Order: sequence, then C-alpha cells, then structure tokens
Amino acid sequence: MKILGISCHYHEAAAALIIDGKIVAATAQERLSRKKHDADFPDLAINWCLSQAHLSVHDLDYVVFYEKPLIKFDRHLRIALAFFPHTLGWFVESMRNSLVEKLWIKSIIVAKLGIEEERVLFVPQHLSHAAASFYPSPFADAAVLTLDGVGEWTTGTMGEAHGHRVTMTSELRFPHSVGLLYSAITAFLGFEVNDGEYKVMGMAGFGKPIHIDRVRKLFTHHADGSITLHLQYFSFHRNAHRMYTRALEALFAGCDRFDIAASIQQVTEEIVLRMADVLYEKTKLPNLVYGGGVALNSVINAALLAKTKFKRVFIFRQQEMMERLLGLLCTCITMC
Amino acid sequence: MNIVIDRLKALSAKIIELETTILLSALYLVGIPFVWLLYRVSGHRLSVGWKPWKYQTDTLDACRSEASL
Repeated sequence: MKILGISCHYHEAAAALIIDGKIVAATAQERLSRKKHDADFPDLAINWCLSQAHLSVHDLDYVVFYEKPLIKFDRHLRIALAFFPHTLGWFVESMRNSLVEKLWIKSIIVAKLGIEEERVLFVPQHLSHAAASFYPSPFADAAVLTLDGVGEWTTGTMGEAHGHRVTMTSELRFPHSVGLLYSAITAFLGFEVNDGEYKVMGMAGFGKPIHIDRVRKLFTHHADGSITLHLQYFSFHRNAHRMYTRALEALFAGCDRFDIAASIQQVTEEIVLRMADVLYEKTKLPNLVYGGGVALNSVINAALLAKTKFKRVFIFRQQEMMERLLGLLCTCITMC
Repeated sequence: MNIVIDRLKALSAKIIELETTILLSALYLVGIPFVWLLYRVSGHRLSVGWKPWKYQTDTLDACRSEASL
C-alpha cells in the first residue's frame, strides 16, 4: 500500500510517503523551494518523496489531504455570521482565499497529479495529530490529547487509543483555543504567529510569572479542563491580520515582556496539566500520547511527565505539519 | 516591451483583486444581514466547552468526503 500525504495553503506545505506502513520519505516544500514557510502546492516535495522510492504518481494507491476543506469553509461562514458586522475585512479575505484555491483542493490535486478523484482522501486535522502521536509510539493503549491553534473547527481533542484504533471522544471548538491564546500573546510580544511561539517559551525562562492574574483575565478555566476565551481581548476570529484588541494592549500596558512570556507560559502549563488530569480521570490509562502545535512547547511537555499521573508520555518529534501528514497516512493505513 | 506586458499583467491582477473585494464586500453587506437575522432567530451559538467528537472517520468513504460529519 503506497500512500502520499499532502498539506498546503496554510503553514508550510509538505509531502510524505508511506509504503506498507513504513515512512519512506517526508519533506517540507520550503526545504526545496528555499522560501520560508512556503505554503504553495508542494509539487517539489511530492516529486522528491516519489523519487526516494523510485515511484511515479500512478503507482500510488491513495493521496491524502490533511484536513476537510468544506468543514473549514463552514467555520469561515459561521464565524462571519456570528461576529457580523465586525467581520467584513476578514470575510473578504477568507472568501477570496477559499474560493480561489482552498475549496478546490481535490480538483487541484487531481489536475496536478493526474490521478482519479476516488483516490483522493481527506482526514480531519486533529485525527492526524492523534494518529501521529499514537501509531509511532511504543504503547498498545494510551490516552490521547491534542491541542492546536485550530483545525477545521477543532482546537483540541481528548480520546483513547487501543491496538490499531484511535477513538476521539471529545473536542474543544474554535474560537476557544489554547494554541491561539498562546499565539495572541506571541503576536503581542512582537513575534510572527505560527513561528515565534518558541521564542516566547524561551523568553519565559528570563522573566518572572508576575502577571498570571492578568493572563487569567483572558479566559475562563472550567473544571473539566476546557477554556472559554474572553473574546473582547482577541481579534483573530474577525481580523486576518491582527490577533488581539486594544483591550489586551491595555491589560498588559507597561508590563515587562519577559514577565509576560513567563506568565503566559505558566498559565498555559496550568491549562494543559488540568486537561491531562481530566483525561487521566476519564481513561485511567498510564500512557499519554500528546500532539498538535501546543505539543511543541517542550517545557510544558516535561511538566506533563513530572506533574500528572501519567507514567509515560509520547510526543511525536517533528514539526507540526509533518506530524499531521504522517498521522493522516497512519490513519489511512488502518482503514485500507 | 516585456516591461510593458508585465506592468499590464500586474495592473489587471490588481483590478481583478479590487473587483473581487467590491463584490465580496457587497455580498457581505447586502446578503449576510438576512442570513445573520435567521442565524440569530435560530438561536445558534458557538460551542463552548468539551463536545462529543462527531467526525466519521472509520471508513474510506468517510475519508473520500471533504465534509463528512
């Protein structure tokens, strides 16, 4: 079984190839195009992956895309409605992007690769995260936690995995997102979203978490581990170019940047640890597999092992997009 | 000559982008308010807290769909 995974039009475009359950090749388009965060259709990455296995496109059994485009489009429409009339600029930009390319990804794949429509598959983004976390892990059974900015609608999931089966049980939905909370502070501190989060994590070590009360004003933390963002502080749901509002600027006015970083790091850790505790109480499994963009925060990952009841934790060691790709391939293998 | 053609191409791209912006803005300002009213009347609210996972992902047919729920 030869399956090619593709991601593009958001983050870094990438391709990965699995043959009979073995990862044969995987690369990001930016490595070959030399364009940082290249999100174009990954033709170079696909060709490279196929060349590693001496295959052509026609040898492939399936080509899999990393998310469900129509569900993402549904989110864009509903968010435009939910926050009307503040979403004009956001609506125009998101519709332009969707109508030009994102909605037609199946046709684009079919046209560019010359394969039949029936061989193009789509896997929900957070299932990809979960699969990438579980299938390469050494565990036969594990609790599953994924946390991200946003997938189609999903910003986080809980579930279980046994044998060859990953079962997601619950999801947290946009706009209430741990990843976007962290990214909004990343943007406020002057870094690029989906790029500079690691710098905030690094900065945290040089500051003191003396603003955690301010950070906690940004959301409500529920007993079940979920969070509800207080949207008056955020604008990512109605503005494609700005993550936060003046209310957030006012909240952190005059605060030292390193102390803000230390505070968001500590609060995010509290959120993730509580979610993990809730998941442990639900599943009582000793093993945790953890994936998604938030799982790139290695400081929190260390705390997961040290401060929760999970005995062992497995986190896929790859950049987020590659993690998704390999996960969706693993998912498809279990079904084929 | 090539410079002229390139500039004309860039200009036409900008015109198309402007037209698209105007059309989408008009759609938003004229069309969305009616849908928004229905949306409000229906009582639809964005989800808060953990909700059951409802994607169907167990079969290849579900994966063939771009929108399977």
